[in-house]
Amino acid sequence: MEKTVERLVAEISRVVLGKDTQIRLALACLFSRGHLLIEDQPGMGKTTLAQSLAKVLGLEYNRVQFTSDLLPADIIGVSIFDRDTNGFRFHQGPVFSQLLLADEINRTTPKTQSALLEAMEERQVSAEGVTHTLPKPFFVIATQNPSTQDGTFALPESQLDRFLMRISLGYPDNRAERALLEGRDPRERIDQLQTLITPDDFDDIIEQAEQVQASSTLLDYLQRLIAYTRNAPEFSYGLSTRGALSLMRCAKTWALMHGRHHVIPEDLQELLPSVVAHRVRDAADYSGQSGYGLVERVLEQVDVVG
Amino acid sequence: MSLSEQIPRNCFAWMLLALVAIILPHATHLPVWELVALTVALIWRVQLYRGVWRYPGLWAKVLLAVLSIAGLRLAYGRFLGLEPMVALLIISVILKLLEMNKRRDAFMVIYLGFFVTATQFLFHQNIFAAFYGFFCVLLLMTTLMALSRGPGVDDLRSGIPVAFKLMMQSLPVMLVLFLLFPRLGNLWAVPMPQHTAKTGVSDTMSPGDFSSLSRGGGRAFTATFEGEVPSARDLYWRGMVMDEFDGRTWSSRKWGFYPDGGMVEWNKASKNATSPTANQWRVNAEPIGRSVSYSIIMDPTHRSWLFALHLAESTHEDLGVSRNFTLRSLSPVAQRFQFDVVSYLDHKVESEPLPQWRYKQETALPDGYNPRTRALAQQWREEENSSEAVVDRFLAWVGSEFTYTLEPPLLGRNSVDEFLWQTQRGFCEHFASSFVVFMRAAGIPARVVSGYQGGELVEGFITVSQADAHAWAEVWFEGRGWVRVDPTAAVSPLRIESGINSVFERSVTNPLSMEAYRHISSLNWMRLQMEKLNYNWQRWVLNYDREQQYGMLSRWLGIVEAWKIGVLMLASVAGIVGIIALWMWWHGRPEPLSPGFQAFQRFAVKLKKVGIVREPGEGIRDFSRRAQDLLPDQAPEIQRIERLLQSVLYAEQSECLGPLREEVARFKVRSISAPITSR
Repeated sequence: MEKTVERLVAEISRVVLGKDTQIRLALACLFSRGHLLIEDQPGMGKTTLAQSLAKVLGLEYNRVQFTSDLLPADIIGVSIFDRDTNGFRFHQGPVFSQLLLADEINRTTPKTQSALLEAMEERQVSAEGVTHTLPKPFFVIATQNPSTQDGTFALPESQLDRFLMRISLGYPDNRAERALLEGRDPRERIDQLQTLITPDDFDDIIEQAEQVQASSTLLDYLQRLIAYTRNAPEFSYGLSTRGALSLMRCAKTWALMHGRHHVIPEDLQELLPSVVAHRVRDAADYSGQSGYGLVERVLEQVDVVG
Repeated sequence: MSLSEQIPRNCFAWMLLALVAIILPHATHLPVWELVALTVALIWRVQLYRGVWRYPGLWAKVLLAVLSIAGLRLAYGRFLGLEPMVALLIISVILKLLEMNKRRDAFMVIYLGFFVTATQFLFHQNIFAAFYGFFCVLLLMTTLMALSRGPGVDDLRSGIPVAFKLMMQSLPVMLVLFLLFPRLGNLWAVPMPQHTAKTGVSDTMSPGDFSSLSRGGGRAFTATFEGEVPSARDLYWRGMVMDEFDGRTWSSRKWGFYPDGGMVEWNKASKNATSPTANQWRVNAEPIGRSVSYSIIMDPTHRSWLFALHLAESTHEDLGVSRNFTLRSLSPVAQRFQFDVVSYLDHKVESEPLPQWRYKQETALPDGYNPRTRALAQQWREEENSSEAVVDRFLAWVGSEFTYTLEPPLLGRNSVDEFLWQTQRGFCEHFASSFVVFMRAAGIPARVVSGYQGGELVEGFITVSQADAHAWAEVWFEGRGWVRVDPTAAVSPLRIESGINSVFERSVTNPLSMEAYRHISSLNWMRLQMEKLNYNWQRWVLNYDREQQYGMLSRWLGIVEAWKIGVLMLASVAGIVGIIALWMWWHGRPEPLSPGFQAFQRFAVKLKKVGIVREPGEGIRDFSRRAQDLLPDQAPEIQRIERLLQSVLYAEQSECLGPLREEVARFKVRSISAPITSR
């Protein structure tokens, strides 16, 4: 398992340079059957990372560039009159894929954003009264620009909560950037990536991750973390139960990816910024950008021993 | 007004409720206008709160104060004394309520409320008053709670549990103070309520007195016997001896010339006197044989005569014995009063031949009344050869032709004549009075005795009700002295054997008295339970006075000294506070760590000694890695411990606990390669 992970990371690193941690987090997210939100400035390699993941994991993917005039039907699909059958026929939209790459999701209107909501949560879509099941597995990797930028519609809390993780990439370090500048266009390199695992491997990993043990001592610690977010005055609202479940699921995958069959507090600690930061809000801050600071506090204040 | 000065809405609601509750027990002795003032103040307060009315202005306040003072003066005619002072306190609270608009004022009203609650015990001391006082304090505490919690708390009831908890916590302290705090005689003496209606058997007797007393109901006293309780037939609680008759009313002789000593011999006086008995008449009473000991707790009667079985002796220092051998109290009984008595049920009183002046006293009748009775009496005297025979003949006559009733017909001027030949229906006073008049007319010394007969046996004590009020007679026979004769017993033996309730099912008609509902078994049961409760309350709580306290303290401490009491009090209070603190600590204490973490703590302590301190948020892996970096020589050891810790704590392999403990015990920081600074 560890080896598989290392091979996947190494393969993606050929395109996304110097971002090993983010690659691992993204893998953990997908192995936990969660949707991933990548938030960063434009041109930081968000789309590249998403495409690389799809390629390496052998997922069939569609990409939608979200714009402010995008409509729900543009994602889900439309029914069009068919003269041959003398009836309406449903034309599947881009959402019918194993991996939907939703680029710049916060540039579109809330209506279209929420059309994606049902798909993400229920893994099915309804169009004109008919429910269509999406392929399995189904992932959404969304990228978004910081919501402080012009022309964005910030995702509401309910929708943010549906993303298992939110990560950001940040500028590459000097060496990685130099390598990028020297090398060929990343777009071309994506095409050269190899698919390393089969769909069966993928299911197997998910299955194994669910078997990972979480001891009562660990659950105690997790509950202390949750309780802190709910009771401390600096939190406007605490972590939801869905958030806690997500964290637990993700921590199991994370432990498995590190070759363990039990979760340790460090797993939770390493995942907390990505899994929890977008689900909490500082009582004194209304912009919603304060999650990371809060998570730092939680990690400092909550005792591992107890 | 700043927010912090505002009085919260909840506080208002509770305060109004509390004020009504604390003033209610005073309603019977407050002037009526004060209750009206309370109502007006409450309405005004509510309207103020709604913003409809305004606060009274300065002149209005002055006017109200002056009016209140004048009203008190008019109602009581004096300012000194308990009732006017309590009334003054209450009207102050009511007026303060009107001008209250800040937190400070609210505190003042609440504290005054506590004081008013205390004053209710000056008027009522039974156990229900105690419960009610508790309830009032609870209301006031809840008000205080609402006040200190400030606005924004919506639930009206939210303060009650906290207030209740506070009271429960202070209860043991209260008990300690009650038991140990010195009762400093005069400093704590509060004037007793005056102007209260006198209750119970009076010192005069006219036809109709006893039947109305009997209907009123209410407790007169309770008696607790040591040993066996005498049979109901012997329970004649003697109160007053009445030997003067004016044609209608019997009364006791208040003054007069007695050649052989004073009216009453006081225990206090005889203690100091040089001779054991200052009064010659004391020798007239001669106890024979069996005696019973008992103690009587009387409710206040505001009269000075006491009730006991004939022939009674008591050593209580405030008591005296009258020359008719009834017990008297030095001052009217204004509060609950307990005294111990020994009674000699067999006795001889004035068995020597009566001197002439005594004979004259005990056979005197007013002229011009009841001619028919006198004629018949003289006729019988001549026909019979002894006093006993006259008595028996009279009793036989009464027993065969007369009726015992609670509703006797009214009698005219010659009351005895009319009773004996016309109505022939009467209550005890009619029989006693006509009997004594008849005997006196026949030249036999006789007198009326009033008091109570019987009583209800409730679990070891006897409670005597006003319904048991009774009048009977005593006749003097040569050689035997004064002998009790009860003509009522000849008419209605059941009355004497099993009490008035067996004759008249509903003798008490006062709807406020529980005794009126004796025929409803559940209510009667409740009444008896209440009697019991109140009796025990009186016996164990109210009776705990200075002497009892002293007795208890000397049992505990040996010689009672102020410093010992002080130390005992402080120690008890400290003990109680300690127990509460311990309890709170016990419930708030942290859970013990699991064995795995205990081992980890030991490990961490060892590293702490060399300056490697774990941060709270630092997990075992991270900590161990840091330690390995700082102590590279011992890295393998630390790694082993880390692995064992992870196994025990997070993989739940309890079999690793033993090795873990060994490793941790063996672990010792050997050397420090470089100075260590914390993370």
